[in-house]
Amino acid sequence: MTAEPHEGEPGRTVWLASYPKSGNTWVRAIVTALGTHEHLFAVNNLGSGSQPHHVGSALAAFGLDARWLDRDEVDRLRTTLTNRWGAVAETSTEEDPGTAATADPSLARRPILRKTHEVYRTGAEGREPFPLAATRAAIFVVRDPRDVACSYAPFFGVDLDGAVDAMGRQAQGKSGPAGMQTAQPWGSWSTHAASWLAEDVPFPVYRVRYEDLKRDAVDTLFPAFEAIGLGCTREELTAAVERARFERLQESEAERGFRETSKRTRTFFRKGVAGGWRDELNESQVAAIEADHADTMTLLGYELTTQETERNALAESRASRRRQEKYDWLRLPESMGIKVKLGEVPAEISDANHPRPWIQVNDKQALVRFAGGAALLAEDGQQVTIDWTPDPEQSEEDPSWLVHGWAVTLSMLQRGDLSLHAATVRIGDEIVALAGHRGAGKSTTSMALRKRGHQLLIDDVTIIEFRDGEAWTTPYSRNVHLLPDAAEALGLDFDALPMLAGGRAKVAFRAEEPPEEAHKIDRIVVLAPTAAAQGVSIVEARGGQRLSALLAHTRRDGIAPLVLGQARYFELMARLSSAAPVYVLSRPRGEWTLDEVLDLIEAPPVLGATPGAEATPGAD
Amino acid sequence: MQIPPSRAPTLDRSAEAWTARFPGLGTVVISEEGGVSVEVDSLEAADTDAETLELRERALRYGWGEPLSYARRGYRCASGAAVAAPDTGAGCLLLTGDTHDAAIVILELASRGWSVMGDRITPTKWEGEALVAFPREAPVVVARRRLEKAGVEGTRVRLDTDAMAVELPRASEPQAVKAVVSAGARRPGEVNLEPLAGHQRFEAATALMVGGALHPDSGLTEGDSSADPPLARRGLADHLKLAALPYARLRLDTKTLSEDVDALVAWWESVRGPVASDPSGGV
Repeated sequence: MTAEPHEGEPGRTVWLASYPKSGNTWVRAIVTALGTHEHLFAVNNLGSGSQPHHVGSALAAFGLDARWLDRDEVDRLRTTLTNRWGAVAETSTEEDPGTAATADPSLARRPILRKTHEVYRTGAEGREPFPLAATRAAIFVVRDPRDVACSYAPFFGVDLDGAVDAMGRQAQGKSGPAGMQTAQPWGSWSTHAASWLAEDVPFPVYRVRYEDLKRDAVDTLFPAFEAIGLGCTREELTAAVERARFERLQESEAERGFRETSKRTRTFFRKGVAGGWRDELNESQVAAIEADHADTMTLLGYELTTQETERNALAESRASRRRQEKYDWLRLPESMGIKVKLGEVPAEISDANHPRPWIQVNDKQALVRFAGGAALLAEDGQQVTIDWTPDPEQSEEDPSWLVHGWAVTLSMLQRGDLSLHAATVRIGDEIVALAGHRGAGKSTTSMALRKRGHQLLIDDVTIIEFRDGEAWTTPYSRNVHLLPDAAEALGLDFDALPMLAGGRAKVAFRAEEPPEEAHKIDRIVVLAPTAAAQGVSIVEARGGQRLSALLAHTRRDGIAPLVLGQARYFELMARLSSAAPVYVLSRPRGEWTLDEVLDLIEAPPVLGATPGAEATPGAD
Repeated sequence: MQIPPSRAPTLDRSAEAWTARFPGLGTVVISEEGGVSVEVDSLEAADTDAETLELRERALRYGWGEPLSYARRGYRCASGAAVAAPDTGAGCLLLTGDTHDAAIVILELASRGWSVMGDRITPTKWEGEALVAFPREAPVVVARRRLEKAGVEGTRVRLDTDAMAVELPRASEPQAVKAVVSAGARRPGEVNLEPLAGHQRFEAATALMVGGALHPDSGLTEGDSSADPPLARRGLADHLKLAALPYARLRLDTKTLSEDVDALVAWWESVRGPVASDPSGGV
């Protein structure tokens, strides 16, 4: 929601906004020093520290213990308290907004600076985190993220790699009515900055770079302080900057401690330097930070040290890893009704067929043994047992293919449903299934379409549901598996992605979460690399050719007919072949023809074409 | 001020009966005698299930009505929980500071036979030179994850919350406040218990009582006949009496919780003075 600028007299609140460890406390110290006699200034007397997400002051304001509220009410209370502090001219103290009015009119319009680490955002009426009625402006303090990481690590008790990762994630501070706190989203370092610097923020935002403060704090701060009506002269500000000099803050902390430091570190005022990251961060940490935040760093004038191509590749891979961290590889959507557990599986199952040496199938069970030692037992389409022990030498390998590929496929087949060996992509308004054998290029093609801006719904396993003669599919969240050359061609950093467990020479990439809703499949494109193909071409299969094209290219090692039964398998494939147009896309095996393949898939099908007519790249 | 009037909480103390209103939650009316009446909002059909209404009623009564009732009757509300020592007549300890850390201490003390008198705020009155704490009805409220770590069960106070009400042994009689402890997390290099002295106690006393809407003198001015003696002199006298209490800082590490609370109890034993009879007559 975009907020309109506030009409009428602006409020008193000036948000002192920053990502953590960016210099907020230093600016607060300068502001406090402005209003404090030099002999009374101390680091534990800093003002402006009351953050808006904490609503404990409702006890003084209303006599209300906010722990008894629900989350919505706490949000509304935050807005009310913020308006009360920021818009009531009589209140002069921050800590007790219920106190009686002051008789001094000069205080009535003084700005109230309030610290926040939250991203800027608007909210529903009555639940605005930063209500316009109370807001005069914001001073946004920003610091080179490479230096932020060096301060972040000791303060939050993590190592530098942990700090770099944390800054790249959409983080948030603690929240909940029990702590009398609303949500306090910090975002990543760059989304945080982008939120406060966005053009549609409906009040003035004065940007202050930490590095500029180090160079000349008076020149940097005076324009902002003047604009917000702080009412100090340059001489007064110069004296305040001297009183709040970093070394003096360190001395004050050493004498009496600092109540705002974390429980994980002895000192809050650590080094206070700009550019210290060059001595503290290694190359890969710098590369990771720049990959995560390049655009915003450039916008803010922070020079990058890495090359753009490598940086973009690393950025994609890091984003994939963050998406992967959020999910439990052993769980499938509840709607699927498949329970997955870890455990031992038998060496054999009774009355089994062996379509391949490593697969056994009977009426109710399917037992698969994989190279690398893992095994899987699927039973009755409802339960899957995975027998897999992580390799202690490979702490980051990804075992999810066992569940999201094989477990789902076998379970669906056991239920009598069709699981097509296909990726599914949304191209414009069309849903296109890309079918083909292992090695046909389904994953590479679907990822390349994603890179062209299309939406990847699912890779490798497309579950088919028939409705009134149409074929529908509901995607679920799973990784895409890529070979090294495919990952490189797609502009990904192969080394930054986890390898598949079990010694498989592919990496796992996690794309954006698909919408968990059913989609009608509009066409099926069968990828058919052949040695004989002279170039890339696409042909619409007609009549019986549709069924034979699907049968020829979606066998998946013969598992499907064996589990479903031949009759059922042919019935379902026949229904599928008449539910959507089927195209066969041929390309020369062993040649890289990805762009031509994508062009043909993107091109809308030609209506009324002569049966058997071919289309080639570039033709209408 | 552009607050949409239909959404914001309000407190009106201009009449003899105070009216506290939170749209969507309900209204609390405090009579001149401190009686509490609660009316729950039931705005939409979806809201009217019995559990929702009951939880709202409790929230209004314990979270708002009870504190205002004490303020209406002239009690000073101390900012913290009061826990009564196991020995009869031994008095009580006020636990201030971080509500989460104070809750950890309450749970540990309760397991050692202490009784809870109040949580978050404790109504008090001066009886001569003694500050007396009075028991409240509201249950102790603790964050769900703290209860899980302590292996204690509770019931949620609302449908959409992480706050849980816990049943703990309760003290039913007023107790003299014998000491005040501020609970917080321990930082590297800090000791677990540090008694305060001199100006530190004076500063700690400053933050002890809740002001604003829960201050019984709030809204009164000098010259008001109900203020006797004059506000400023009475305030200073009370502050000096508060500062005379023993204060300490308790810095917790969950890994050494038992030892930390041992230190607290040992300090309590050293400062509480002789065990007296029930001091609550005449309130």
